[in-house]
Amino acid sequence: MNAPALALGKVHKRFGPVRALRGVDLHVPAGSIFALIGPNGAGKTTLFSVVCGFLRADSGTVDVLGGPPDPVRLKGRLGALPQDALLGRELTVREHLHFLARLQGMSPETAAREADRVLAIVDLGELADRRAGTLSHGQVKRVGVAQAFLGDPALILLDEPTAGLDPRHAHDLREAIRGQRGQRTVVVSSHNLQELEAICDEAAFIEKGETVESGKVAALTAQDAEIFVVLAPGPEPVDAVRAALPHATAQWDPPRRVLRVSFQPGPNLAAEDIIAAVLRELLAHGARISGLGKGRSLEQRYLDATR
Amino acid sequence: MVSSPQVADPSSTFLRDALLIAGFDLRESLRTRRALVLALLYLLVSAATSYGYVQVIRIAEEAAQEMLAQAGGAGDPAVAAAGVDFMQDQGYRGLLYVFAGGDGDLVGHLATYPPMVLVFAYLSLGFLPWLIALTSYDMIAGELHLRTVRFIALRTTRGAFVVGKLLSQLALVAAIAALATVPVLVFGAAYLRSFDLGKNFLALVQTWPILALFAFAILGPVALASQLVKGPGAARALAILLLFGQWIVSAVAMAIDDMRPFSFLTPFHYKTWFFYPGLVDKLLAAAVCVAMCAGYTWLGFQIFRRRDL
Repeated sequence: MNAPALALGKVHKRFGPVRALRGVDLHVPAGSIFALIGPNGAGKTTLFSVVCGFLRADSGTVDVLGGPPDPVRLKGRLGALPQDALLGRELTVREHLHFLARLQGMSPETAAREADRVLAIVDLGELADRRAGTLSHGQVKRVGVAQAFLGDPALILLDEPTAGLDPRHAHDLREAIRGQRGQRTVVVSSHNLQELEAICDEAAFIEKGETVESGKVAALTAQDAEIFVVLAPGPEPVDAVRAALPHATAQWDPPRRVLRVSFQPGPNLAAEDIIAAVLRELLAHGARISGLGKGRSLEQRYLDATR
Repeated sequence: MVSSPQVADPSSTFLRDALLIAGFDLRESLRTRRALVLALLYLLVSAATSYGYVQVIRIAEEAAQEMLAQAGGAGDPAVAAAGVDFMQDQGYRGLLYVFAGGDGDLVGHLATYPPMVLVFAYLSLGFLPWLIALTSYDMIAGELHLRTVRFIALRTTRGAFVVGKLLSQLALVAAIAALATVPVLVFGAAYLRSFDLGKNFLALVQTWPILALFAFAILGPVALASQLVKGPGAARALAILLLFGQWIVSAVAMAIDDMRPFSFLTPFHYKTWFFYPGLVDKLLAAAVCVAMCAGYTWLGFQIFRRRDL
């Protein structure tokens, strides 16, 4: 088994009376796109800051790419978008990126090429020679993302990378993150759970400084162990489904008209088999079907886990 | 994609990173009002000093000529000029006694400097600490406040960051100190009857390292203040307070012997050491200034290296 890109054990961090992290455990597999999910104040940004070495944990273990968060050891191997950090106002976007690339150990020529490459990722090539102080909030965010992609980092931490971006650039950034799968590990925090569900392989729910639950997104959303059917107004033959599938559990949500069927998957029982059986029963009893899917949304799962 | 270099030698990386940070910070300072403000302030001080000096000399010349005329020597211009020079020399030597704190040996050596350069140097050493405090206070605190430091802390050590910032400020102050010598030459050449441009230029070239090294010593306490607090406003207040406290200690120590040991901890104690004739004195003064900068910066770094960014 590959060593994790990031492993935190029982990490605590306190700011005066506020306990920002209360024993966070986290295990991020190398090469995965990992979602860090939690409400405001859950400790996500503090956790990122501890991993980057901006903050020191009061206790616990922090293992980043096989060792402590030491900037010399991690030079060029760790990229990050810090949430609240601002660039200087006077120099141009290109100058900032060139400088940061040079600090990662690149030659001037390589740094110049890298600056152009990462600016293309965030579609900021035409603003490369603009002073950073004249950029809009969204553009500054994109420059922040760009600097995180400089070089060839093994681990990238992105703290709310799409917050403040317009839909097109948010979409492009999601695609850019998705494109990193297998090449490097990316940890993303966001409030947009649909977005995270679409791009991430694994996720952890953080609540009040603790890890509530973590695992593969497919497992968290029960992609292999639950299906749902949305019924149009009309017959609601839920009991017939229950009778036909005695080993499964069917839950009916009348306001949303959603029938959820959860089951224990096995070698001879896949979600597709359950879907076929449920549809057969529903159609046989005159139900009108307006939607169908596997599992539940990450958002629903998150709400269930943190309720 | 590029392959990231594996950094083998932390010490060479440290120096490389510090120089990169210094270069970037210097470039940023030159594009902001920081460099402009510092340059203008220092040029203003230099110009005012030079102008004041030439005016005093002109008044002294007129007064001396008038006195000589009344004494009957005005008929011979050479005699009158010699008389004026003699009287100026006597007045200047009296001033040097004040500068040197009554040290006869030092007065003799100071007298070898062109007077205008010496006055410029002495006043610069008086003003420089406050100009530095007012323009360099946020070298670290400003980056902490905006969290700009996070982009750098991800890529290099905090030590390299502090050293880079310090070198940048030193280069800035040293360059501006060099620039500030220009008014001395301009005013001297334009207004003074017996101004030797070449001699004064060479003396200014010799004086410039003194200002740069003294600036180094002053940057130490300022760097300490900038690392102790996060807000630029608090850093400015602390830097001024720290320097003012040291200045008071240094001044009081001249009058009270019991305070003397404390004055060794202040940069102000060493500013006249550069003017002693011996090479050892000058080297010792330079070493003390560098050590003072390193010492105070190191003290601040003990807080900065542990603090949350």
